[in-house]
Amino acid sequence: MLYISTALYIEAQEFIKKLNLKRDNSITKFEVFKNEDVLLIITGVGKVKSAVAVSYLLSKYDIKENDLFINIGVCGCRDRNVQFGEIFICNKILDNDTKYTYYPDMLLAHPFKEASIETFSRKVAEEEVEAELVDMESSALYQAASLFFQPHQIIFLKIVSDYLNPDIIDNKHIINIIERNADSIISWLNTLGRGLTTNKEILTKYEEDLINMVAENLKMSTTMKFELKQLLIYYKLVNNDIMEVLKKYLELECKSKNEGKMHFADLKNRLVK
Amino acid sequence: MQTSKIGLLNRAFSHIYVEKRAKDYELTKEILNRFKNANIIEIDHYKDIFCRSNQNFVLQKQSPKLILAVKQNNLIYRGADVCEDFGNKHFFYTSIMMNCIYDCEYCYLQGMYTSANIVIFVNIEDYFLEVKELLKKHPVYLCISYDTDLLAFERITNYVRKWIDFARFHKDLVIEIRTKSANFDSIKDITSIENVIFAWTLSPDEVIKKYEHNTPSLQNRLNSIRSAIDKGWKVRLCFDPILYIENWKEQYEVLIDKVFKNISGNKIYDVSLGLFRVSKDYLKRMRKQRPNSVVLNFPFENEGGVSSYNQSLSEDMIMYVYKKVSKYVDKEKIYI
Ligand code: SF4
Repeated sequence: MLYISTALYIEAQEFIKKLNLKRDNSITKFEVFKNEDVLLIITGVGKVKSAVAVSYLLSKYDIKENDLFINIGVCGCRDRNVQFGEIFICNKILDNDTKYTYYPDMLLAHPFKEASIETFSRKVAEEEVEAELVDMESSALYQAASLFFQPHQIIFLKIVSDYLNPDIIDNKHIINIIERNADSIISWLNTLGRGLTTNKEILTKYEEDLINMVAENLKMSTTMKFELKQLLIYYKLVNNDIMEVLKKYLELECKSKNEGKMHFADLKNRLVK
Repeated sequence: MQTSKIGLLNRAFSHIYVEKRAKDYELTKEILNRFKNANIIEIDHYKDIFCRSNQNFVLQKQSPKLILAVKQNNLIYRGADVCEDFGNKHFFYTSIMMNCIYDCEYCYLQGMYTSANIVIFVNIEDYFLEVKELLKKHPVYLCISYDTDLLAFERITNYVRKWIDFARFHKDLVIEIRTKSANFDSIKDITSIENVIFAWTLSPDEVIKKYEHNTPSLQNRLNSIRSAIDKGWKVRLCFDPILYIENWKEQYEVLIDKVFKNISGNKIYDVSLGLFRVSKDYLKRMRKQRPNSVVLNFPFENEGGVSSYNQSLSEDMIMYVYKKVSKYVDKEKIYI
């Protein structure tokens, strides 16, 4: 699942249209749009609003390894050689209030340029800015998202809309620069996410249940049960199946802990030669 | 939206993080010059990147970043108990780099470090100063390639060359350079000296293929070892970690026979044998990073906080390898 946040509706509307996202009416506190693979939330402007909205949304879901969080939005830029509409992925996020710095893990390849971004809570003068780009949400979003995601799953995609003078830009300008870029952003988004899975549960729920049963039958202590589980994880990785070895113990009912221990020692010997 | 395509990872060293205070070091400049297309990101402290919480070690191994930093304290430290000290009283080690370009499934660094990114400390001169101070008190035996593989990185850092140059003028210093690389060529022009030992880790071909990802083949390592011996260097062979794998007896027999078919046993300085062993806490983290790993999921026994094979299996394995090696090498030269 791709979790997208934008501060404003006008930053989202092109993506809502192109990705065919539908309003999720079960959520009333925020505007959330979704399809099968994407959930998009409009957070409102500023650190507090954006962090609250994203935490609210993400805490509703079970975040998976190949899910990603991406913040898409317009930003200011110090460098007047950069064109309006140019896209950047942020590799460093400064919080101007706290002076803390955050670093998304740059594992995913992308076709865009990279830059640092500084998050302000107020209007800024050029000489106060340390980073290349400026916005009002990134540092807070990073903190909120990192409660749920690993640092490589958190992405900031920013589109330059002004040279630190946001007052002179209007909605039309924002819609226009996003419209121009939406296709290239979406085609990159299409490549993301899959292939990030490194973890896999070894034992199925059913196998776990069986192990619990055997542990009970053999009157095992918690430590021994733990040992049994590790033994069977190993055995399954090597042999792909644990049913054959467990069968014998499913019916067995030990009278004492000692009897259980004897069976366990025997099982250990059989499994690790 | 279609999401079935595989997301691509950045190439290795796509990003180089540079501590502000590391910027003016010669090595920093050389490295930045070499990786001209990398994104350079200035940082205050290497830990800001290296110690971020919740990093994905396994994915980072596929797209490692470089971090250039200046190490300030604790440059040289005493060897841990789990390390073989080869009878050296003043046994120290140093981590002038952290992590390496290889990706061994059993590597304890994934339990020790929060990140798979590679840190290079650029202030090698400060390390030399600290060693000089120690040498004023007593001789020093120093492992310089423990938490990394320095020789594998030689073309980028020249650190092996620099350490050897330093050792050349400090006879009371003995340096051990541990490696799996086949990169002896990068230093073949250097005249050998007595107080440097190259320690090559060797594993059965099958282990290399399955568990020592990105490392050179056994044959390539052996070729490097042969060149080193021919040039007069002391070479230590490390069969460590010895792993419990299917047909382990056969695998280790084939390995040992192959090694000594290529290299005469009496030309070896010594041999070190060790079973896979790791602190219990590290193992827990390692398993979490690689839940599917067969080597890491072996049901080890825990003794005094160290996880390894149970006693009878341990004895079987180590004695078996010991016997095979002692066919080729004097017993006094074999350390367990
Ligand atoms: S070569 Fe050594 S340091 Fe590098 S991954 Fe392998 S075990 Fe770890």
